[in-house]
Amino acid sequence: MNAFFISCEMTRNDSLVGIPAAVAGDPKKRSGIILAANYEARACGVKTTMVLHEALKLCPKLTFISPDHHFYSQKSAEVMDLLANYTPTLEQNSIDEAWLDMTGSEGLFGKPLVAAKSIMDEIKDSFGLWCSIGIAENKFLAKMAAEMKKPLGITELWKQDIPAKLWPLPVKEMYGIGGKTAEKLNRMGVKTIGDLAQLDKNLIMKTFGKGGSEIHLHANGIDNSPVLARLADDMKSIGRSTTLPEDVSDIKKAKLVLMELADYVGMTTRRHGKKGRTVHITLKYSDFHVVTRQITISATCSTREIYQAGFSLLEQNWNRFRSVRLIGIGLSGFHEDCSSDQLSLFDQIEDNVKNEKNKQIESAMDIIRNKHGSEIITLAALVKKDKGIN
Amino acid sequence: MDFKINRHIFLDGIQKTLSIVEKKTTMPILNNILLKTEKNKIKIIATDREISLISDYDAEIIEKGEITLSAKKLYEMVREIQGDVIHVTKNNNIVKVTCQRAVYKIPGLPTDDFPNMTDDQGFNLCNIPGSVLKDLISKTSFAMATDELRKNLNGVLLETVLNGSDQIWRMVATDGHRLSLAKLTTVEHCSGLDKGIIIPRKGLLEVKKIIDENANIGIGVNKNMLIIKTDDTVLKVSLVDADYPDYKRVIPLEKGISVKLEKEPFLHSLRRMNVVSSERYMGVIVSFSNNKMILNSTNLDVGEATEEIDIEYSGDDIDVGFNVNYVMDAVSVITGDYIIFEIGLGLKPSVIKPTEGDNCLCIVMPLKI
Repeated sequence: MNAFFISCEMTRNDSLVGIPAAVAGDPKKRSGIILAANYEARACGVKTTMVLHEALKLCPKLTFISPDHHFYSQKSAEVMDLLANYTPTLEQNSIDEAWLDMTGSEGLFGKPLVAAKSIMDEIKDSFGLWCSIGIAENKFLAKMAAEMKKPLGITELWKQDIPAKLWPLPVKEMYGIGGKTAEKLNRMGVKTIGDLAQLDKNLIMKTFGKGGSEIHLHANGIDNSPVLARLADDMKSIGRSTTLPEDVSDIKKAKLVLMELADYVGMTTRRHGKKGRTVHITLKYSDFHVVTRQITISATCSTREIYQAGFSLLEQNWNRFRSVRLIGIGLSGFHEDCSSDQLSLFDQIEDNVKNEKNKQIESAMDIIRNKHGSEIITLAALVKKDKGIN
Repeated sequence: MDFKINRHIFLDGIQKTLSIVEKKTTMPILNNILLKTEKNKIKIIATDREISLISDYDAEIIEKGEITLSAKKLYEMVREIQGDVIHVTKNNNIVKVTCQRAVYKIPGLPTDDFPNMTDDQGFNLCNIPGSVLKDLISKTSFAMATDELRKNLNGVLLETVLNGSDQIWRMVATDGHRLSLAKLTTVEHCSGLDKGIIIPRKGLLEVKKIIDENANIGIGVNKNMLIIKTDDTVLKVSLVDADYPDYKRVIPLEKGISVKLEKEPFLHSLRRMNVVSSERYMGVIVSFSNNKMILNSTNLDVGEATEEIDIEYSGDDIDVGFNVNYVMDAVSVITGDYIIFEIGLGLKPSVIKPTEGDNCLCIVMPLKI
C-alpha cells in the first residue's frame, strides 16, 4: 500500500486531500517523527522517520495528524479480506503488505498484468486507497518489483529482467538488508545488488553466516520460500513498548506507563483468544543499555494479572539512579485457550470472586472498545495521569 | 592451605554444589564454593542465600586454611584431570591444583565476604528414616505450582500431627487446579513442624537429591530454615514465609461416582488420550453410561481418540472434562494394582486414591465443558 497511514486518514478526512499532510507522533514527545507522508508532502522532500521540525523546514504548510493505529489495523484487515477473494494463499507481511500466490488463477483473473490491474482498481474503488504491485516468480522479486514504481505502479520482474532492473540498484535498497549490513557490504566493495550477486558465496557466508547464503541467493533472484497462509493467531508473543517523553527515574511514573501498555497487551491477548504464561518486561536506560526480565505465572489473559507480574519485575529491577527511556511489556507462552476453563480448587479461599468480577469488567471494556474505539474507556489510574491531577 | 583428596570424592562433592551456586548473581562470591580444612576432612560449602549445602569429605590435611573458588571452573578442572589423588595448595589466594603432571592455577576470593554458614551449634535434630521424606516428596511434588508470583503454592506444605504415640507426617502440594496429599507415620517425634512449613520448589528438589532412602536423616526447623542432615552433609533451606491455603476445606466430603480401575491399563488409556491432546488443549472427556466409562479426546489439529472401559455403573449418562495430565500424574503416584476414581458431579472436585488406606490422595478439578 502506498503511504498507508496518511491515505487511511485521507479516506475519512477530505480536507487533507490535495494539501501536504503526514501522520506523525507528538512533537512534544521523543516519538515525534513522521510515520507516513502523503505524496504532496513527499514532493517537498518530507520522508518517513524525519523529525517534525526538519519536515516543517522543508514544507511549512505541512499538516500533522496523530496516529490512530486501531483505525489503520481495521483498514488493513478490510484490504486483506478483499485480497483473500483472489487467492486463498495469502501471506501478510506487515500492516500494509501481502504476498499473493496466484499460481493457476489465470483462467479466473486473466494474465498477471490484468489480474494486478483489477486488484489495484478494486482496492482504489472500494477503499480509496492506493497500492503498488510487483509481479514475479518468487516473494523476494515480487517485493523488489513492488518498490520500483510508486504510487499506483505495477511492475513485472522476471528472471530475464534481473540484470537490467535489479542489479543496478544499490544494495541498501535490497529487501532484507538493513543499514548495518549494507555498510558492511559497502566496505567489502559491494555497492550494487549486481556486485553482491557476483561475489563469492563462501566469502559472504564467512562474513554473515547463514543469513549470508540467503542474501546471496536473493541477489541472484532466487527465493524458494513459499507464500504461507499464516494463521492470524499463530503468534509467539504479544507485546508493546513505548519511548517515554522524557527519561524517568520515579517508579510511580513508570508504573502508570506499564499499566497502559499492559492494558493493550491484555486486550490484544483476549481478542486472539489466548492465554500466556510468561510475562516479560523491557527497560532501555538513558544510556541505551537494554535489559529484559521475565517471570512465569499461571496462564492468563487478564490485564490486571499481566500488569501485576510486570510490575513485580519492574520493582525488582528498578534502580532510581538509572533513568529509563523506554518501557515495554509482553506476554508469551500461549499454550492454553482462553476458552478452556480449568476450574480452581480455592474459589472461595483465594480472591477468585474478585478475579471473576475483574474478568467481567475487562470483557465489558473489550466490547465497548470494539464498538467505540480504544480511547473511549480506560483504567481510572490512567485517566488521572492524562489530566495531570497526579 | 594444603591437602590431598581422592579425585572421585572431590569431583562428586563439587558436582553436588553446582545446582546451588548462583548463575546470575550480583554478588560474584556466590558463584564460588568455600573450601575449608577440618581434622582429616575438607568442608565444601555452597549457598545462594536461600539454600546452603555444607558437606564434609575425607582428605589428608597437610596445612590448615580456607578459600573460595569458582564452583564451575573447579568442577571442570577436576573433571578433566586424570589420576587418583589431587593435591590442592594455596599461596596468596592463588590455588594450585595438581594431579600427576597436570597443574592448574586458579585465583580465589578470600572467605571474609562469603555468607556465614556456621553450623547451628547445639541445635537438636530428630532422626527419621530417609524413605519417609523421599516418599512424601515423590507423591506430592508434581502438583506444586510453577507460578512464580504465588510463592506459597510454589512449594510444598509439610506438617506433623501427634496421633497417640505415633507422629503423622503430612505433605501437601497444590497449584490451585489439583492437589496432592501424602502422609506417613513414624514412631519418632519431631518438634517445630506442628504448625506446618512451606518448603520452596528449588529447596525441595535439593532435599530429595541428598536423601538416601536406606539411611536415617536428621530433620529440624530453626530460624525459619529447614535443616536436613545426612552422614556427611547438612542442607539448609529458607522456608517460604506465607500462609498455605486451607487445603482441608477442598477435600470433598461426598463421593460422587466411585469406580475401581486397574492402575496400569487405565494409565495406558490416558496416555493414548494424551497423544491427541496438545499444549493448547489438554482436555479428556470422561463419560459414564450403562456399565461403561468412555474416554474421549478431540483435537481439531490432530484428530480424535476414544476408548471404552468396562465398569459397574447404572446411573444417568454423565460427561466430565479433565486435564489429562492432571489425571495421569495422580494415577501414576498411587501404589497398588488398583485405584479408586471418585468423580465429583456438577463441576465439583474429583478424587483419585488407593483402594486401601488414606496415605495418599489426589484431588483434581474438572474443566468446564
